[in-house]
Amino acid sequence: MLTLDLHRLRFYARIYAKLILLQLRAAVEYRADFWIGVVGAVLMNGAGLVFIAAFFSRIPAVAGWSAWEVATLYGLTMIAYGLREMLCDGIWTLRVQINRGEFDRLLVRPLSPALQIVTSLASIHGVGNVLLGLVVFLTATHRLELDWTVAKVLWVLMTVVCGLIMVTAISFLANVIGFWEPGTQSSFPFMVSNVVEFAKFPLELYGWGIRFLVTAVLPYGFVSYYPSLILLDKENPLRWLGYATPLATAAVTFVTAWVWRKGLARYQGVGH
Amino acid sequence: MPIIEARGLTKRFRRPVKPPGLGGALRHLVRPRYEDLTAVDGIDLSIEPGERVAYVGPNGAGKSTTVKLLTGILVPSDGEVRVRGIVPFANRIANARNIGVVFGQRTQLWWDIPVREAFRLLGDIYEVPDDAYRATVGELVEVLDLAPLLPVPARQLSLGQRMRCDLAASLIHSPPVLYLDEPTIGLDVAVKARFREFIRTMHARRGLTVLLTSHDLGDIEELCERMVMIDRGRIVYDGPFAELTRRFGYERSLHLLFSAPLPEAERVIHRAIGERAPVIIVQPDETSVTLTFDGRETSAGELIRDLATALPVADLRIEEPTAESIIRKLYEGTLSFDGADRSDRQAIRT
Ligand SMILES: Nc1ncnc2c1ncn2[C@@H]1O[C@H](COP(=O)(O)OP(=O)(O)OP(=O)(O)O)[C@@H](O)[C@H]1O
Ligand SMILES: [Mg+2]
Repeated sequence: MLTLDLHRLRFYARIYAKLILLQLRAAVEYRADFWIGVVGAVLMNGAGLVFIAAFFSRIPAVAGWSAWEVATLYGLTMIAYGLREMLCDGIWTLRVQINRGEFDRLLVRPLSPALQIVTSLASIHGVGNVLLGLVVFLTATHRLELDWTVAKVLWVLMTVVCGLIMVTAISFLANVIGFWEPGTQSSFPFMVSNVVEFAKFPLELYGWGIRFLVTAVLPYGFVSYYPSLILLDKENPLRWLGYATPLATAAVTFVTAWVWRKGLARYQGVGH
Repeated sequence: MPIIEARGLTKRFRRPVKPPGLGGALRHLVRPRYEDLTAVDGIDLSIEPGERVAYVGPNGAGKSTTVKLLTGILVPSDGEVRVRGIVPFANRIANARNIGVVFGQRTQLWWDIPVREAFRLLGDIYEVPDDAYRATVGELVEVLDLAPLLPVPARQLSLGQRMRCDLAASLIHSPPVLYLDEPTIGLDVAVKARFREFIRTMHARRGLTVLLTSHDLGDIEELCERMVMIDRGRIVYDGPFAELTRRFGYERSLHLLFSAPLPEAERVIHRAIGERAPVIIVQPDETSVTLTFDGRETSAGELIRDLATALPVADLRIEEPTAESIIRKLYEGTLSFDGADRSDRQAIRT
């Protein structure tokens, strides 16, 4: 049902904000976890950044991309991914909740189960990713002497919002498998999710297989690469795809919503 | 008009049949096989507003599955269900506003969020107006004595404390229907008593309709006037709890104590009562004897009249079956539900 009910929408936004803030607060209260999360995020992505720095210290550009341009991609991806971790990480609890029957309780509340599942957890790890991503992105665009027009600012905002939605939608797709196979062992969701790593680098680096994968199957390319073609004014035959970013995001969201419904209808609970 | 109505309600689970061992699991990957398990099998149920119904049956009978069908968690394989005119699984959100649910095994609260915050969230989620929220939560906190628990996150609550918070959480939006699936599991005697008191109070104040599953006869006896018993997914008894003892309590025992040792009591008794009725005689020692008989065939009075002259009876005691013993026998299958059936006498002998 795609009826736009403004009251309902506002209501959902309010409940969502309350839930996620409470979860973030609870996460911060586990203090050791908080610091491990932040430091972990910085270390993990720091390694990637060191790699870029080392790589570009020898070669000035790869496939037409300079170091700071690649850093822009890297930063954008980290921001989108980190926001997802901060705001929608609960989806990663879906398989466990299905497996243990805890999902039951989401179905007896007058609230969309999808909203309840994304708010069942907030990860501090994301805060580190977002902060580091921001630093990297802002430094890179500064070094590139990007001319910040209003249009560009709006374009970046659109990119980040679409990126967050895209990454979240794909996380849903990856985890919805729990409705079909309620085991919690499968590494399938992690594999799907980790494809995002490709989006941190220009797609020119990859063969046609991977390009196709991140453009048409798990379109992580729209999280940073395609919109950056426009942001950074790159000459590229696929530049027009950058403008399709909102469309691609909407398409993935639509497919995800459809699969989610199919999965929900299959829910069988557990035996007690 | 009934508030809960089910007709022909059926739930079949499809379960993978996996031969044992790793080889079996692999074979299942290549050619999966499934079997159907009918957990709820054509149940007809009609509950009026304000009724308190105990839903009982042996382990695996299909009680929890029925509750999940009535709450809209599961989609029925067959049959119809309506709660306040709403089809639960088809309209989960509208249905959720009408019901409160408590599962004894798991909490409905948010694991890491303090109880007070969880209550407030529920108030927002159910869109309870401010003044109604204050009144309801005030009442629940007082009756359930929750004040000391409010700042504690759910993960730190003990089982009994968590249960009390869950109960309150299920009633914050003042639903007309409350489902309780084994709400007293693992509670101590005092908390159990308090729980029952609470349900009675809420029933009296709000006219709650309650459906409760429990293995604790005390819950059923104290809370519910009506009992529905299911066995292998089918309803085998639906009626007043008290009626159960009347209908199935035909097995009586007569304990006699002799004034002098009487080793051959069994022979004497058989001679004295003759062909009156089949009686099972157990003689634990030389000075006492227990006769078990069918209350529909003969009465304790007739037996006593026959025996009083033949035996040196010093004292006697008549024992009627308790609800517990009846239910146990019904679960074990040693007592049949077809009440008047002759084959019941077979059951008595076991
Ligand atoms: N999700 C499921 N998948 C497969 N089988 C299930 C599922 N849920 C329940 N069953 C089966 O359905 C039957 C009824 O289960 P149910 O949980 O309703 O029993 P119950 O009456 O609540 O028992 P108990 O008193 O032990 O709680 C059982 O045989 C159980 O194994
Ligand atoms: Mg059960």
